[in-house]
Amino acid sequence: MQAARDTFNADNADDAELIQRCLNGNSQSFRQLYRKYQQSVRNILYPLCGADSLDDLVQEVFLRAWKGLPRFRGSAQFSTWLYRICWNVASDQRRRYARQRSQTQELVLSALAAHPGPDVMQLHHQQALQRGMAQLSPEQCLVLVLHDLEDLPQKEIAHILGIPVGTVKSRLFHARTTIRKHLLQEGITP
Amino acid sequence: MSQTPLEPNRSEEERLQQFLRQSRTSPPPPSSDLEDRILRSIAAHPLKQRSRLFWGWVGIPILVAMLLSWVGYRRWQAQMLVQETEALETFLVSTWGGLLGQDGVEAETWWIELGPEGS
Repeated sequence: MQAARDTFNADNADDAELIQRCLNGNSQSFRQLYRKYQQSVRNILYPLCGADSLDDLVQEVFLRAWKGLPRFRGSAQFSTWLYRICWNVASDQRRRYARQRSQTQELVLSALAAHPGPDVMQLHHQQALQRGMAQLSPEQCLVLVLHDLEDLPQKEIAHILGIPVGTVKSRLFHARTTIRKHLLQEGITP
Repeated sequence: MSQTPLEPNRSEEERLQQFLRQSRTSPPPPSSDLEDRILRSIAAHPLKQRSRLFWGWVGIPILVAMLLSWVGYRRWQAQMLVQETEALETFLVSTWGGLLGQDGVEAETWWIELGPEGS
């Protein structure tokens, strides 16, 4: 526990130092921040927006983060702030695609076909999960991804989304219920 | 002990969480030039330390002006209070003087003067 806390504090200290260097005009420090967080950013954006234009969205997230660095006060963790930007970028993207919703869902599902799993059963599970996640609202989907897949604590998710912890719990509960129900309909008992 | 609706069977939740992690689809890998593309795009947007300049050259004068306005208002309010108190005192003195003025005393005196004649 103590070790985890030390790592957490060290990460924060590293981030603060990197951010300060960026503010002093060292854009190479931003490369380190990018390398540290790009995978998490992709993991969050992918279930929300699909594979199509994922790179562009990642670029948008980091560009917004760069532009916003002078306003980042360090009262929250850098990751919390960055994930909030992810959510904003994903929301903007979804609004743009609102009229082509079915097309977006197709893109999410087709992305799966482009990256098949190791065996047929695994592929079946992945497809069922994707279809289940497509039934969730974007808010529920994000909470599920952040909590169950990215392992963020509920308090931090509440901070990212600017909502009470109770709302996070509620969204998580409904998201899990929807997914479980869908999986059962597809003959899968998790 | 009964569970609340938002805290269903824990092992059930853990099983689902495990399933989600095993069955999640990883996002496609980034294109090889994405990192450089991002670095190029941020190079085109140099950071402006506007906020510090703003607070230095604009923010502080605004704060000083607000402080001066507040102090001025407080002084004006205190002055008005003194004036109002003075006016009230003047009013009370004049009203009190009217009540105890010559007319009233004369009336009393007139009534008192009748006393000895009648006795």
